[in-house]
Amino acid sequence: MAEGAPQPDPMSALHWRTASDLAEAIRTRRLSPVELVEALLARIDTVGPKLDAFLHLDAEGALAAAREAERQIAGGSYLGPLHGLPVGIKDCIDIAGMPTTCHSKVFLGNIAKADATVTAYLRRAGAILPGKLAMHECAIDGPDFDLPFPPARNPWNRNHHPGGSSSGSGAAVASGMLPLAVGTDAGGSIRHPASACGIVGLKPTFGLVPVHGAIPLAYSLDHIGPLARSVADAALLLDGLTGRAGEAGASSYGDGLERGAHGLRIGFVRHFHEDDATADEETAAALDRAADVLAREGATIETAILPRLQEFMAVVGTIMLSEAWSAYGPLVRERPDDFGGMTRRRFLSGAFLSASDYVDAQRKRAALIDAVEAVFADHDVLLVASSLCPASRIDDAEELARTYPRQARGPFNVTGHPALAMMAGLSASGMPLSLQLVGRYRDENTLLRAAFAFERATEWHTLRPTDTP
Amino acid sequence: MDAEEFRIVVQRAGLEPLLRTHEPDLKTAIAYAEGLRGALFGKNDIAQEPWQKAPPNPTR
Repeated sequence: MAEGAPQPDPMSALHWRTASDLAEAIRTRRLSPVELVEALLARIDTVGPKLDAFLHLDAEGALAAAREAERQIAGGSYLGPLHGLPVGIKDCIDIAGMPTTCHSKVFLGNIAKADATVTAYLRRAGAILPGKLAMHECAIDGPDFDLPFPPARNPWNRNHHPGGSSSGSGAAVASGMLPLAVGTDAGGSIRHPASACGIVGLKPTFGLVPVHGAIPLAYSLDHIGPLARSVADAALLLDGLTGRAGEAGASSYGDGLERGAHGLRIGFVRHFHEDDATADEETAAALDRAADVLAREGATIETAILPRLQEFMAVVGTIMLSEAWSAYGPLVRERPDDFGGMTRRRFLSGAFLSASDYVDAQRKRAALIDAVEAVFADHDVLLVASSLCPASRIDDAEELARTYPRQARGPFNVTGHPALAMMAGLSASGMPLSLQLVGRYRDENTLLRAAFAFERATEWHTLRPTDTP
Repeated sequence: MDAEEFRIVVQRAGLEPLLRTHEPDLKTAIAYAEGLRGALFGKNDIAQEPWQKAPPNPTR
């Protein structure tokens, strides 16, 4: 651990306890959901104004849901580990009766008439949905001050961005305002805030989590997934997002975490951050250390070769902008000035891609999927860079433009493989460093098992942001 | 791309109404799309993308 790094927090405060720990305390009636929600609302009062992570907070509704959960549990109607736990929702996913704005002027006044499938699943599992979280406008590009709401800030340093586009989800979980949050990911938007804020973010296999009720960005790239402060918590929320939580006899994505990394064959994709693009020294060193940790935990680490990062990024960019233009083109034509400039310019790019560009990208995508699948014939999990450098200042437009796209997450939106980002170090400037683990299709259990082994062998997950103590 | 070519490209995309009000945005968008298309066919490495060209700046 870096010299001078913050010491692990005793985690005695309710707002720092893991979702799994809180769930057990609620199940055994050592903790009331009302007590928990009151503690989190107090935390939101304290740090919320510093981070701008919430766009809409329904404190009274959350307290009413907590009282109902308390009544149900006291009456013997315990619904499972999500019962009584607050879960934040990115503001592109519908919660019936709440605004869904996509952090955009374009959607101001839009009140969801029904729950998205995932929010209905979470309600059914007894989760409390206290509000909607900030994001990058329409889930594309970076933080922008040219919007109706301010951008979320990074709890490790409020002058830095928290990653995105699920920016509020990352900031809220990392700062202890919520134990769990839901994000979306078409090009890395769950894993980026996880990387920037030092938490766990999982983009599940494409299609595993239903996206009905979420405003689309790119139909063939969009995913919904969990952000949490531990691997077990991410597994717990994935149970909820897939409708497993609270189902009698259902298996859990947390099953088998304790088995560790022993026997896993992990392919280390070095060329993404060493040859195709250049990660900063601290990030590269953190990845090397992570490989060593996993080897000590009993995994076999071998170099794995995928197609060049640039090939993936060209494909994900072409598909994303083409599909985004399909979704947003009419609104951009009619109300161009109701979008922030950054979003408008990015969406307009899609208008200048042709049908043949899109088809060519899809053809190339098939070849890239084949290449990644071939590598999984010899490996259970891949170790890959997530961000190639720590989060930059949020108010430095030049540095944002230079660093923001320096990432290796897009490849797994192209292929649809499950991919998880988590903290793997601290930079000298005190910002989180990260890694990414990638699994086989629908093998989230093995992916989570590898991540849990790394988490258990290191202390990064015990650190708390220094700018929002 | 000269002014006439630019106008034709914008017109073909059905965005002529934005020509007078959003010309810089349209130019940026066209350049970005061209960069992606070039990268897709291997003609360049997403030349518009700064991450491809610039090493990390450790002073920031």
